[in-house]
Amino acid sequence: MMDTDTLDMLRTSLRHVLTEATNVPLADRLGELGWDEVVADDPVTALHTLFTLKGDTVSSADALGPRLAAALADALGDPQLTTATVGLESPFGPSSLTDGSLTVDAVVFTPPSDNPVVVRVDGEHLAVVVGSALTCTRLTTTDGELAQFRLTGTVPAAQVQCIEGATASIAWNAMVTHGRWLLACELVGIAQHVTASAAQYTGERIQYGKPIGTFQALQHRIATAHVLVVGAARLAEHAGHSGDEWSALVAKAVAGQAAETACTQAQQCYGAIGFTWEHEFHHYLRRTYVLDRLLGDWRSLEREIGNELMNSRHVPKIGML
Amino acid sequence: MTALPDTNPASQLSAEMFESPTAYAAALEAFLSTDERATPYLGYRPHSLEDSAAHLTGLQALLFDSGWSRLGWPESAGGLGGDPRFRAAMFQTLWNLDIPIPEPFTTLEILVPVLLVFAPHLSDALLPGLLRGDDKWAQAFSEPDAGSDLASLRTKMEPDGDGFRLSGQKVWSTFGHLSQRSVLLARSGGPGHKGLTMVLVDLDQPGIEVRPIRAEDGENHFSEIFLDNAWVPADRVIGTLGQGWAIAMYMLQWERGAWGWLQQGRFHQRLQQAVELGTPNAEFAQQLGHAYAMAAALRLTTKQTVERLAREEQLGPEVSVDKLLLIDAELATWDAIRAYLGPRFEVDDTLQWLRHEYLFSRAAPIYGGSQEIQRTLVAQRVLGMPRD
Ligand SMILES: Cc1cc2nc3c(=O)[nH]c(=O)nc-3n(C[C@H](O)[C@H](O)[C@H](O)COP(=O)(O)OP(=O)(O)OC[C@H]3O[C@@H](n4cnc5c(N)ncnc54)[C@H](O)[C@@H]3O)c2cc1C
Repeated sequence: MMDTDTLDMLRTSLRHVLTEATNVPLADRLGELGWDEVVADDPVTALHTLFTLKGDTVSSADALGPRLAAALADALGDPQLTTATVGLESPFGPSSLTDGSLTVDAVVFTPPSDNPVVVRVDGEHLAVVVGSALTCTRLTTTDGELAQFRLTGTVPAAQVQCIEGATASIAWNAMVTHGRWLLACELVGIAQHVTASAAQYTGERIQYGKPIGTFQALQHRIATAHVLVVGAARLAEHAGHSGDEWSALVAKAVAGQAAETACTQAQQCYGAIGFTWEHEFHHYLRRTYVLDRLLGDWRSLEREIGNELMNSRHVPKIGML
Repeated sequence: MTALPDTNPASQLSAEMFESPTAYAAALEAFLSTDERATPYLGYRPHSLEDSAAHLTGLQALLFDSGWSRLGWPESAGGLGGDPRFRAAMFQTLWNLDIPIPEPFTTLEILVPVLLVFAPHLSDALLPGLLRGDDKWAQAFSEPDAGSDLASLRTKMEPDGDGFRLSGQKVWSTFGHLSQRSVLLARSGGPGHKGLTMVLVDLDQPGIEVRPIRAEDGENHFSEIFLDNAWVPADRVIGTLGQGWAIAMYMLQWERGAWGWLQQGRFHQRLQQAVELGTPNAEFAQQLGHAYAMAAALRLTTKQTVERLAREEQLGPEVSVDKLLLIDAELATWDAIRAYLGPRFEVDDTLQWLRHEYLFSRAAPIYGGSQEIQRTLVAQRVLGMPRD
């Protein structure tokens, strides 16, 4: 476990790394910090801190992509896949493997160049194909700054490595669980930032001769958001420590909702200025929309939870005393 | 596990259980699900609040006599030592087995920590009877004209010999008509917070009349209390004269914090009942999923609060967050249950008990400081938004 001083130092360096203006990939800059050792030492604290700060600073660096690959490589026991790019489900269509060929449609955060790409095909198997065999197009997104690319293409089956059965599902689920946890941390970072900034703004902006934060209508908006944010933060922490699929599912569901609620309530506190590019708020709003969609938006995740409860007829408890 | 003799309650509990709430909970669960004295409480469905109170007094005695409910309370007060996590573990275990929590336990959670700090002579003398269920206490703060604005309360407290006389009217005292005593907040001095004093008053005396009030669920949940020169001896003052408000504020960390943990156990249990009773239907998936997610958020948030209380940290205004999460989780849970069980929820004889609990859930945003009051506290005291 990291002590408080080490953690504070880590936060300061990470904040710097996440906000510096440079084209050097995040992984290389983290490397200079001795990041791999930090992660090896206390992965839960390290990654929780990185992703929460990434949300807080709306950094557009690709921290998620490498983590998804690491989780998948780890679950498959195949260290070579650490450098792979995981192709997430595309909203434009499925990837599938039929008799002679693999058809890919997937979303990634960094172009794969000639690294291997792993996609899920037909909702069960995994297919590994070299990135240079696919077409990579940058997507225009609600966010604009957090890059997303669509990978498409058809590749002869002979050039595809297929991973089948339980191994494939278990590994993919482990990757999804890891990703949901990290996204929950990032969404919590956004939600905390947005709530605190809006609360502060209402103390500075004067109307009717007094700070607008004295109006109960605005106080209650921010308080409502804060309550959900606290709940989301506890769930994200727990998901990190437990590492289990169910906790990560619930954590991401609440985090997505908390971030959206925080943005909605904060937006109203800012009035017109928050609706402009003169103010930082729009970055947080856009980022929330994009991150919430990754690995399941909060409404679908709530449905997933509900279906599981109804079908299993079992209501599990997260966290023991 | 073999049942050990009642005469030596401590021996029910092994040294290992004192180390870990988890080990304690597992042993308690084994005891309650195998000891035939516990059978009448498993899945108990009350016909009325009075029936339930009488029936569950037996459970309280069983838990006390066999030692279980004494863990988590100090030895000076009849407990067996250990921190509040053991109480929290007991509540969770009772819910796991679908055993209703006797109402006095919830009162204990709120009132006793206060007595331990501000009136140890009272807790030492009276806690065993209270814990065992021989004695029942209420909380009389609210008045007809003093609800949210509690500090405006008017019940008068005047010195008389070696004690005080109380006159005025209290209202909404939970289980007042079934209680022998009540913690009461009265005005011993001038206006405002500083004029308030907290006392423990006997309700079974000539100067006091207690009248039950029927609540939304049809049960006599609370009472109004009329005080006409009621007597309270000087040694029943909790803290000192004029300290009443500060003590009431201290009480809130338990009322808002520890209470939330107890309730999350209920929400998980009742969601469990609902998924056992209902027929899977995608239409309700999101509503149920949302309710569960809120209950889980409440669970982890109040777990942390219980752990902080166990480390004897002083909790601040952030406990209002626990209360607000509780409100959200409670309303979401019961709305989801009612929706999922469909039209039969309103008319099925066998669901009467669940309907009562549903109706009672509507009080969540009102009692113990309303939702509006809590939101204002969070905005101003936690988030630093400006006060007018
Ligand atoms: C089930 C139940 C059990 C209870 N048990 C007890 C008990 O055991 N002992 C006890 O002493 N009391 C008890 N109470 C009373 C409870 O504490 C009060 O109901 C509560 O403090 C609110 O007071 P009130 O009902 O007078 O509402 P009011 O104070 O009249 O409030 C009415 C409405 O106005 C709003 N409001 C009031 N002031 C403000 C403000 N400043 N800003 C914004 N909105 C405001 C409130 O939020 C509420 O929506 C119980 C109540 C219930 C429902």
